[in-house]
Amino acid sequence: MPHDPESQPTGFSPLGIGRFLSVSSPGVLLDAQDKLLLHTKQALVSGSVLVGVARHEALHGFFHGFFTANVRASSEPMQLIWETNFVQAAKVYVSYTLPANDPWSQSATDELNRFKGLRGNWDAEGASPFARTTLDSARAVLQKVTDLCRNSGIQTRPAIVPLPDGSIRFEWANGDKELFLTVRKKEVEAQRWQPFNSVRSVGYKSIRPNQVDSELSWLAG
Amino acid sequence: VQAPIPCQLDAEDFILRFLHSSRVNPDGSVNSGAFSLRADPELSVAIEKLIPAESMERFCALKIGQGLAKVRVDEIRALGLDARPDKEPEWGDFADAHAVITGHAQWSNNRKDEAARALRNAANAWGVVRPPTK
Repeated sequence: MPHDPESQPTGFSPLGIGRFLSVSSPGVLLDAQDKLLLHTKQALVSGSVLVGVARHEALHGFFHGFFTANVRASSEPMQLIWETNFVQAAKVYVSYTLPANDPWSQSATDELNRFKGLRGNWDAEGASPFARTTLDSARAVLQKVTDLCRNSGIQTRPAIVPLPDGSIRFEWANGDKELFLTVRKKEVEAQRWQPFNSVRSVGYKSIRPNQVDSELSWLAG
Repeated sequence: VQAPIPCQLDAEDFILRFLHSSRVNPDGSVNSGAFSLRADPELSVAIEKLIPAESMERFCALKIGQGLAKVRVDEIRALGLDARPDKEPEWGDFADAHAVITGHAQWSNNRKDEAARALRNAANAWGVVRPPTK
């Protein structure tokens, strides 16, 4: 999924270090690819970044850098080292490409789309249908979950559970921990358990869908 | 004519819970949705000892395509909930086998979900009685 490039100023010098911010979506993405277009002539880029792996190629007087693996988006600037006496540009142009979704992510997306079609009493016990805002919030949480799966090496995947009150739960165990993220409209109820066999949760809070990172980090940590 | 004596639920009795297909994970385990206490103050269940083994197919036809999980009454009561018989005429021949889990009407969502999760764990420990067929 290519995204629009973003122009960023850099502090060029003939021999020095430049910095740029990834424009990948927030979160930590494994195998996301930031593409850097540096408008220079004859730039010799010895190239490294703070995180990730760089490779580069000279093409028609432009420098193209591709930074892959563990791109930590929107959190810290990447560092680029270059050597050239012919730098003429003062901007880098950054775009990024996400890797193809893994099979679980696709099936989870399909599952959420299926919930959209469920009418009231879908469980034969009077369950409520799912509001559009709930589905939108669940998709936002799913994106965060997918990002974590790509990057953290976590081996398990959450169950996506439709609940009779019209909420949707991400139910995710990892080792001795378990996390429930229960989405209802624009809210997410986050519950943690550790050890796994405990009954009482060790944390419960109501947050926004874009605030689930800390909960996911806890599970993966 | 003597009125029938209501069924008593003992600690070691099992109750059965119908399983919609969404309540079973791809690996065959039950998820917490099977015992969600969020929607209603009573959760519909069945009393296993009142359903003869030879009638199980007919009983399952009450909710076509759904499966069955089971938990023991003492596991329910340990959570501060209760299970009590609750005749359900819509269940026909099995009306007397109907029961409800109660006691959570005033609970917070946190506590309801803690209980649903504990019941899920109990059901998985016993194993799914019958998986959903659709």
